[in-house]
Amino acid sequence: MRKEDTVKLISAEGFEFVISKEAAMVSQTIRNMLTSPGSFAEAQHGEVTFPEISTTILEKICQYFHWSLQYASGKETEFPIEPELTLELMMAANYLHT
Amino acid sequence: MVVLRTRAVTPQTLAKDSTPSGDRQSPAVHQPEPPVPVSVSPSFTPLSAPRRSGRLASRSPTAYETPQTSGRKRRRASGGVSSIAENKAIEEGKPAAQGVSNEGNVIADRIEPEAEEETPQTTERRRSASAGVGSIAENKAIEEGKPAVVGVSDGGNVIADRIEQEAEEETPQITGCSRGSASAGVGAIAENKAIEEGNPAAEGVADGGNVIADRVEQEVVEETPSTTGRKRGSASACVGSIADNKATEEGDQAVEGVATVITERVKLEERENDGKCLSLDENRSVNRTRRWTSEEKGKGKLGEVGSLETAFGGKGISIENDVKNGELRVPGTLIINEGGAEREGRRNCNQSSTGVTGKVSREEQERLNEKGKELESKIEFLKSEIKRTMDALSKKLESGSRMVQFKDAARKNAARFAHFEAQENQQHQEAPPGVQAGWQSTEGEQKVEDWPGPFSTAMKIIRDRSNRMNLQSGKPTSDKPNSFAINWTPREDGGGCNRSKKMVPSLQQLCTEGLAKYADAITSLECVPDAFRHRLSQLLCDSRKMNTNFLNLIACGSPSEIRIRDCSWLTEEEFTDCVQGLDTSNLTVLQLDYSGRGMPDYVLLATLAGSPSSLPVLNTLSLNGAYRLSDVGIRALVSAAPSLRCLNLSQCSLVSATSISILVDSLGSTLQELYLNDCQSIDAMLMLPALLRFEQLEVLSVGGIETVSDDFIICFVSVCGHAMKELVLSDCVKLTDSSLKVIASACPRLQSLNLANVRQLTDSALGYLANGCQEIQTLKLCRNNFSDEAVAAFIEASGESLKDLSLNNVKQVSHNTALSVARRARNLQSLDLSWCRNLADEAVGLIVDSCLSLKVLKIFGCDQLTDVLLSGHSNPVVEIIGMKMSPALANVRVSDAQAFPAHYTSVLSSM
Repeated sequence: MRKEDTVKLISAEGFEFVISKEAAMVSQTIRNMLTSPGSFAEAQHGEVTFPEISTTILEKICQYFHWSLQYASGKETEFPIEPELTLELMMAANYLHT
Repeated sequence: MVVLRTRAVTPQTLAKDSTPSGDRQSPAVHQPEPPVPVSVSPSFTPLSAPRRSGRLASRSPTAYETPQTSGRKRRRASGGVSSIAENKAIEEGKPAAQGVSNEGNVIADRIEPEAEEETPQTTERRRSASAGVGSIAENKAIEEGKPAVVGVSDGGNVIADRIEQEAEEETPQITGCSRGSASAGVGAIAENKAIEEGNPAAEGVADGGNVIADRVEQEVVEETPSTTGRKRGSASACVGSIADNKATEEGDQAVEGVATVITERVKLEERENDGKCLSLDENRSVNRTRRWTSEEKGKGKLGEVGSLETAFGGKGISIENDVKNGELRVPGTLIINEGGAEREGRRNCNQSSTGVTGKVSREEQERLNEKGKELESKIEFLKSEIKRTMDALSKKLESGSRMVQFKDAARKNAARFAHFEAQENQQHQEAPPGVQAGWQSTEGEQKVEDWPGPFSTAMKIIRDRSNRMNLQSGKPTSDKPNSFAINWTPREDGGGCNRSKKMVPSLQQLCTEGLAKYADAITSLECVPDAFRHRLSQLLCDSRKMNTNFLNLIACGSPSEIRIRDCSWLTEEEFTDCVQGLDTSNLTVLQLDYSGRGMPDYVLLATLAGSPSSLPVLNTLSLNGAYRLSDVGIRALVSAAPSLRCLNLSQCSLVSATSISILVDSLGSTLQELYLNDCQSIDAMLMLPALLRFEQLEVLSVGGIETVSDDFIICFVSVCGHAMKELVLSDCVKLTDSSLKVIASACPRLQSLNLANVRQLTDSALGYLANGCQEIQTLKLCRNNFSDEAVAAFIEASGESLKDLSLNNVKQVSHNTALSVARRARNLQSLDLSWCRNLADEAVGLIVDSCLSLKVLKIFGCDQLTDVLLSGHSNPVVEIIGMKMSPALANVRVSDAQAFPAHYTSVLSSM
């Protein structure tokens, strides 16, 4: 993938997740950040920081993005969520509007 | 909690049943055949139910060849289903009911197709169907509150329908069998009612008794001696089962004897019919049977059954002589004691042997006492003959002349269960105007049309248009006059990719579901915003996983909102424990719906409403369905929650007009929303003076209160109409156009109006509304008799602001409406077109493609719509619910917007 096609998501601990833009756009929040007409820093650098989202949660979210694309393209599988993550994941998902 | 125990209601099984006393949890319903071991264990799970039904299914194809097997099959089915019902009785809560109704449905479905065959064998299956439905009714009894009653009446409807069908056939065999099961089913209904507290229980029993009584009446009227005995037997068996259940509830051992008494009685009758002992006619069982004597056409009343209970309270059994085919009639009472004591050693009516409360003359009594002794000696013999007798029963044919009587009776009884539409139609004044050929104008309509207003203009345009169409097509009336007026072509490529993206479950949804699954493992809900808590709470309530654990989680800390949609699981102790620890200083929203079980007045007084201002900032309170809440509780609540703005007391059947006065005394100047749906004890005119004193009332919901009349509305609206934003008048069937006229003129700011089931309204009502209320955003119509043109004209005139429109069952809706909606109602977000069968793909497609804000479209029952619509529309957002082949409930989601409280003032916290 070319650099222009990817976006970097940075967790609270500083971990960086590089995923395709298409995957990141599953989240309405990120989509707005990247595509809105105002020149947001995120859009310019292609990086989004989430100081409240921990690494494990952010990782799970990235997995969800990819699963969502897969689901939309026809391959419908289960998305497993570990019970311990569920609560935080729900709040992060709410924030990311996904 | 009382466990409902039902039996396969045949005399056979009654006789064979094990001692019901003591061991309520695991009755075994014995079948004469290799039994279906229908034992109930407390750890029953719905998983085992399919097994049983599987067993049923596997046997049914083979078992109905011989008439003998028919009887067995009937019992088996009844046994199986009743066992399912019994199991369900152990569990509390909804999955049980659903499981059973599923089972009942499965059985019923299986049987229905079978019933479509011509062979007489089908009748038996139908019988089991009735038993299945009876079980559905039984389960409903477990649930509390109205749903239970509704369920039972639904069960009753089905039974009644089935009886009707059965009655229509010619084969003589049917009647006996169907009647037996029907009685059984209805008996089951009566049984369930016994569990519920309060009036519903009494009514249910009375109804059950009535139906049985009616049925038996007919039976008794017939001529053939053989059949009478049998029918009486089955009927008494049913009623006996009613008595059984009552007995178990009260732990009265004596009543068990009733079943056996009845059994015995049946046997006696059989004996009579066989001509073996004529002298036994006097020996009859329970005084309940008085209902069935042919001359004394007493309808079953609760009093009768009640007297049974008191009679069995140890005072002895007074036994009345029954009438047998008019051959012998010995009025009076007779006591059979010795026979009872001996019968199975279960009855301890020792007192009865001495206490004589008979009005019988000496000689009769002596004679009858002799008979009593004879009776005992025959009991043993009879017992051994039970099987044979039952088989004989099933074989007995009936003459055709009784079919007519039975049909009539079935129809009469069915009407009682049937949808009240039948009665409503009698009251309905005006015939719905014709659709195609323009307008049948009456005076009122003329007036509305003559007004120079948007409605009349719209009406004119529409009429002209349809006339033009008709002229062009050259036919005065055609089936689809505007079929070519709607130009809508489905998209070829189908927009599939658009749709599937929207179908991906969101992460929030997945998480919420995961949380609901592991709700017991949550240790804390701190820092979780209220919206999540509510969503979780809703999911848990819906899946019946809600428990005190979660309640404590929500209640810890100082919560600001607590919403529990379903508190029917909450007992009084749990409620007290939970609420006593609750810090209510920040509580602004409290929703404890259906909490009748755990919240009688005294508990409320002890906890929530214990002291004045114990709920200082509470502005929204929902106590929907608190059926033990009365005026006393309301008084306490009102002093405890002085800043209340929004109060939902729907379905609180003990709340009366006094409560409204109490409310207005303290909250008259602040209360803004008042929901009183289905509060049956409230008389509208009595509460009117209090209602008028509310100064800021914006929402009044009086749906379902029958006493709401035109006068009430006119009076109320003229005084308080200027501020009203929402009026819910669903099921207020007495209202007519005059109310709407006043509403339209006095409520200019009305935003939401619910007129479901107000059938006397005519098109002029819509006219008034269109001319008067320009800001209507939500309009709910259901089963109203408006014509297509009128609805279309309304939308043309004031459809701009419509966001939520329901035309459910407004049967005449057709192309004019579709055109209007597509043209004018661009802001529509939710549209319900269920049961509008005149709509074809083009019409709905046009709507969907034009109303781009449309999010939800319901089309249940629209049988003209096909996949062309689904794949051909180009609206990326809309969700179409209710297509023929899709699962009905898969897409039903309670949207946040519908949640109480309403959203009119900014003071209230939003959902």
